[in-house]
Amino acid sequence: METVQRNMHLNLQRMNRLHEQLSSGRKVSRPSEDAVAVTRSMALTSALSRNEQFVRNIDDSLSWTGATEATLGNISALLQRVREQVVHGASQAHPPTAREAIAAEIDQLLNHLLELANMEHNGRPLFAGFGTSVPPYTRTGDTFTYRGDNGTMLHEVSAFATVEVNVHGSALFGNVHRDAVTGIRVVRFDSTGLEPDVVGRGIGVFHRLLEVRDAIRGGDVNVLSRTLLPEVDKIVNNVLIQRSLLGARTNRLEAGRQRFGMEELNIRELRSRVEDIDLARQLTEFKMQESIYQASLATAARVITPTLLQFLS
Amino acid sequence: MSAFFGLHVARRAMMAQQRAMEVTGHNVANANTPGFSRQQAQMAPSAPFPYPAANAPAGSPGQLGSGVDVTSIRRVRDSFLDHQFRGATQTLGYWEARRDVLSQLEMVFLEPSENGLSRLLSEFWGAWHELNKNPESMPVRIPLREKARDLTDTVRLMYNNIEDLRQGVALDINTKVAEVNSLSRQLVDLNQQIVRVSALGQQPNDLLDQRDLLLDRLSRRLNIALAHKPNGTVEVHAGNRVLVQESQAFTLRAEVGTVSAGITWEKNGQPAGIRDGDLQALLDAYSTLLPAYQNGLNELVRTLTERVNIVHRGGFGLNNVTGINFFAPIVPGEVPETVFFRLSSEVLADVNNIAAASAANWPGDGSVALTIARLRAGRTMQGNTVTFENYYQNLLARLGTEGEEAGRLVNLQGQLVRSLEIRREEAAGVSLDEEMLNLVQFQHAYQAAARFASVVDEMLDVLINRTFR
Repeated sequence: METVQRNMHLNLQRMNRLHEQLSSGRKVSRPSEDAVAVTRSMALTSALSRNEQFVRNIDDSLSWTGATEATLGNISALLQRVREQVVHGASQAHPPTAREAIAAEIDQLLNHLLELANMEHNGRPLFAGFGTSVPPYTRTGDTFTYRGDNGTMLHEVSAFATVEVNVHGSALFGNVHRDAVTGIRVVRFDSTGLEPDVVGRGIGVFHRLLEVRDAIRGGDVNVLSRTLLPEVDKIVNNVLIQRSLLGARTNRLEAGRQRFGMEELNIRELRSRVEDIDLARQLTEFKMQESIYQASLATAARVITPTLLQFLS
Repeated sequence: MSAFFGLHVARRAMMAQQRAMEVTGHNVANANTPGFSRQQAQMAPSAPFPYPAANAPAGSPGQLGSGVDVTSIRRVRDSFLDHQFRGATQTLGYWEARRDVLSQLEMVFLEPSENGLSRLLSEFWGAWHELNKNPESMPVRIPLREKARDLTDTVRLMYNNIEDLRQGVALDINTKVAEVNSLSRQLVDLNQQIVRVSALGQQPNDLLDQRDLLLDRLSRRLNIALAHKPNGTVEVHAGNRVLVQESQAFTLRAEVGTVSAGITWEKNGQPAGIRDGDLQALLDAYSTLLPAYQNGLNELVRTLTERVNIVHRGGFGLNNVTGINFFAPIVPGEVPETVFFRLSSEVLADVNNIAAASAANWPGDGSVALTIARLRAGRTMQGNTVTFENYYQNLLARLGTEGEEAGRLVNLQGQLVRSLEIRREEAAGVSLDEEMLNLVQFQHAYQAAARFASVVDEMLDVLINRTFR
């Protein structure tokens, strides 16, 4: 009798376990059911969440580099226009009114360049380094001031790699100096107290453009063609170099993103194999267990009823 | 030889069959009584006539049987099976109690699930990544603080839940020790009654059954050894000493301290030396099993606090303040560490105190946040050999393996106990069918004896009433 009871209980227990698995869709719901599977599933889940974080980091990096890329494109176009004017101004002697008009355009382009240099992404200046609380470039008369710094923003994009996402203002527009007295990093684009020229970063883009403007205004053809045109070319070239560097970085990020996409699929697949039930199999098993349970009930009913008493009159 | 000798034989037979039927009735009545063992009326031919003697009538054909007697009422019981059963029950009791504790512990850790600690840890590191990307943003700092607070609260809660579990175990220990003491007092009572009945030359079957039942229950609690004495009493040894002897019961006392629990003899305060049964499992759970997991959490909390704080102190907040702890620092003496695991008061007061920058006036610098986020992959625990996540996973793996082991042994030992139970039931249990057959048999024997009496009666009727008229 007790055996009958226990067998029925066991069958019911097995059904319950299957039911639990079917309704939750998971093979294991507590560590003691299968310690190995649970640890594996935990490790995979954690790897998945780490990858998700990397993907989020890559996406943020890409949106930053995208914004930078667009701005660099605009800067490139603007500098091309400046170069054209330099070539135009150097080609022949213009009458003073025409020179003044070109000079005024250069000045306008300078203001536009200033805007581009202060471009923001999500409220953060693109070229300010870590000094993100204020617009990095300001102009007062013919004096330009840079209040950013050389801070490099690093995003972790894989377990082994961080990537620099920002382009320094100094790499685009000029040298960074440390003020001897205050120790604060400043960049000046006027002609006082500048350090020796570094190729491409030059004396400061803004300062160069001021020189261009003044040379055009003064009709100084010689200086324009001999000195300033090569300098402007260097500047244009430098922006192109920065763009190609950025492009390479973008490519790397995108490749990483794709890799993580594939990896995520793999990990999900693995985790599903560890965690999830095989629905068809589980249902069949449930059905089987159900009939076993019913059979045990039926036989129990037959085993329990007859006693000798029924046959004694 | 009397002419009424036949009536005597019939009377004896009827009485014996009736007694046997009464025993059968008793068996049927107790068919569902726990611990009851089937009884049998032992019949034997009564003393024959005549007794062998020198003056016996010569030429007699031999001794003449005088009928039947019930000599004793025997209890059908296999004491070897009892012994085996109790041994197996002790071990089963141990693993069952251990499995129960472990499965409750699993409920504390809630893994694998969306709400376990491993997810909170992941989110905590993720929040630092977000801070690295937007160090000057309030909407990023506040979630980081909340995630971290969630982490500290949850770890504290888990620790407290384990402690609650431990206190529950302590309560259980006290209850079970009280039960053992009560069982041993009852055993003393039964011993005394059994001695009294045995002294009158009778079989105290039902008292013996009760005593066996108590011994079964006792064997689930702790390891016992029995010695049956000639006077009918049983001597029970538990742990390293005598628990019940003749009319004396030695009480046990539960000593539950803050660190560990033990069981001692009330009389001399010496440890009782218990090795098996569910009491031992509970003692283990209280003294070693649960504290091991609490220490696991402590270790995690200590390393996490130290590692994060060291980096955080070197950074600068949005308000250019440096040297701030992120978690409340570990104070020697404030143990267990987990109970004091919370964010530092500075971070709680102002999220601008969260240090993301490596220098003052660099609001856009998130490098310190990045260094903290990268602690996730760093081998920081157990002498710099495993990461936080691995450490926690190992803890859970250990819990799972221990739970699996306990579950497996409960199944195994349970099967053994059940099969012994079945064998015992087969030997000592009441089978209604068998009893019914016996009943029919005794009934027929009774009827036949009555028939014999009426035949003798008819014979005497002829002799007394119809002869010599």
